[in-house]
Amino acid sequence: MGDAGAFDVAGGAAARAGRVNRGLTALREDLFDVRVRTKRPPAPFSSVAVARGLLYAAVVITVGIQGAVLAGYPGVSGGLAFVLGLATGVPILLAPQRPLVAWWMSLGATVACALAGESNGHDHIQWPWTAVGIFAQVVVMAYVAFHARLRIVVETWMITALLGLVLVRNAQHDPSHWGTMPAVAMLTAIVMVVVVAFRGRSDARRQLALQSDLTATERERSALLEERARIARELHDVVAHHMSVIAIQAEAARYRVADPPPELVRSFVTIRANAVDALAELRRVLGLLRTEQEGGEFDGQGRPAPLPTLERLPELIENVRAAGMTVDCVTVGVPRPLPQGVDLSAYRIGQEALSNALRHAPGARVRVEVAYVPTGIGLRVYNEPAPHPEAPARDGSGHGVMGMRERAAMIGGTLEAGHTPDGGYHVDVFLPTEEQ
Amino acid sequence: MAIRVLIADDQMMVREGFSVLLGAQPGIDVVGEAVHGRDAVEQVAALRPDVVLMDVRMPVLDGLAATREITADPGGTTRVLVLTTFDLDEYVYEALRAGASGFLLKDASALQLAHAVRVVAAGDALLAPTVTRRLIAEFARLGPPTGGPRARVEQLTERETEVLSLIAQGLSNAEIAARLVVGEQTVKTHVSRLLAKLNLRDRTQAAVFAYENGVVRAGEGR
Repeated sequence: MGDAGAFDVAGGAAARAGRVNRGLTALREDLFDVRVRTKRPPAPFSSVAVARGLLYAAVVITVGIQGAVLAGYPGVSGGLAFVLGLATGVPILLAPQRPLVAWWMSLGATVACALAGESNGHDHIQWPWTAVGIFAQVVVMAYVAFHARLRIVVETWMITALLGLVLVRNAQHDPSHWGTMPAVAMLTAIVMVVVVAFRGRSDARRQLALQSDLTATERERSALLEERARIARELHDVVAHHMSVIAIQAEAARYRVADPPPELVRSFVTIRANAVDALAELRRVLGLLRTEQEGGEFDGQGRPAPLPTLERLPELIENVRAAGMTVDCVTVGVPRPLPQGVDLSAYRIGQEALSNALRHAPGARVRVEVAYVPTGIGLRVYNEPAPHPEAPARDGSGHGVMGMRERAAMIGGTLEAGHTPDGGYHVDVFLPTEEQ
Repeated sequence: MAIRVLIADDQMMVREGFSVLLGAQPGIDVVGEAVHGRDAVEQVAALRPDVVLMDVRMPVLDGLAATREITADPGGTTRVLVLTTFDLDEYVYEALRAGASGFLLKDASALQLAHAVRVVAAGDALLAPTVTRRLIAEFARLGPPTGGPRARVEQLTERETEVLSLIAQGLSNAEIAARLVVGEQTVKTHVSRLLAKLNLRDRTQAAVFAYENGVVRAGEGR
């Protein structure tokens, strides 16, 4: 029984010691973690630069005033005063990047300054923290509050207050006097609460921004898929037209001559049957690719129209001119019939590039160059900077360029687009017409 | 007398192919080719063909607009057979409203094509069951007609109205005769009289008229 009781007591003590130990370990892990640092590097905004300037000024002023104040104390040499001034000011400089390290340094500086000021028995108003020391402490702890976890915030505050208490209680001159310790405890508490509350709001905002980024990405992706479906539909459409010509011509073949040899007729029947089968498959694919709203291919007025080709580029340019743009068009090389897919893609890319120019640089001068070379066709659409820069540069440009890139890529072409040094915009595309 | 046909398509190979196909069929003469809708309208005015094979997607003037212009001519007797590359679905309703008498896919065989031309030329209308079904579906989607010009329907006798509603359901003369227990010749007389009274070109247009004027409602009689 007695043994058991002793065991209980010993066990209780061990448990308590264990708890204390764990608490201290947690504390050590929290407060000696030098990896705790600012998560977000400052964005390149001018306001950040201003804030940085203010920070530097605060450091310089802190070092200066603290040094001057301490130099006035008896027994403190000028050199020591300057070192103590630096010790007080440097944590402010470090706080934005390494708040916890800065906080530990500020505690050290506080102790050093307090010990140096101990000899000055008359100035209780500036002990254990000097006025500038209070400022430095508050700034550093504000940074801790902004970047560290809530538990760490509470811990740093408690330890700071505790240090103040220990210093005050052990003062040689007047242990009953509290000095600046209550002021520091109050000020840091208020500032930390305010900063933590503000941080909560900015976290929520960041979360929101992140979410809207995600939505935008999602939108972008669905726009890309839609564009791909459209391109695929048009290219399938081209194939279907070729197929129907094959079917018609294969059927017509046997009527071209009187009494065609039966082998030939059989051959044409096979060709035709395959073309008709392929058409049936194509119709199925096109049915899949076709969205609800769209029926067949329509021109600008909602009328059914054949798929456009570069032949209709002048028409397009005329429309853009009618919208108030000056358009120069140059054709290099000898125009020749292009494979339908290439012809269609060239037209569509030109259409998109011109409509981009119209949207982003209304009233600007536009130059369209079409180059027929043996290996393919080049198309360049360049617009000068907008004459009225305040004109609404609506977003959505990414979508247009993306669609053009998709079109070019789908038939093995390359596309470059971007701002020119003079502030204009260019789209350069090359579409090959032959393999290799 | 041979049926005179005009072919309107913007693709030369298609025109040429159809021309060979139809030219080989007895009783059918290809009298001209048009390269776009406007060309087709002008050639119809000049050549007065019996049937136009009309592509839908053409530059300058599309096939639907051209069909509208051709069938709007009150003195004209030219009927339009619309050809599509893809699907009957695509333009079937619009083309019927525009005044087309029938539809065909471009990859139809020579015999199907010749049959379609003869049927349309005879005014006997190419109302394949599938087309009728689609027509009904389309009208069902649009909902019941809103009043509309019933005046012309009033001119019809009860029997003629009955025949009209049966035409709209895609029945042939023989089927209508069996349904009404009358001779086929009697049905033919009714049909030609009601077409004349309503100033309609053929049975297809009679069916469209019947749906549009509420003589039959979508879903009725099926």
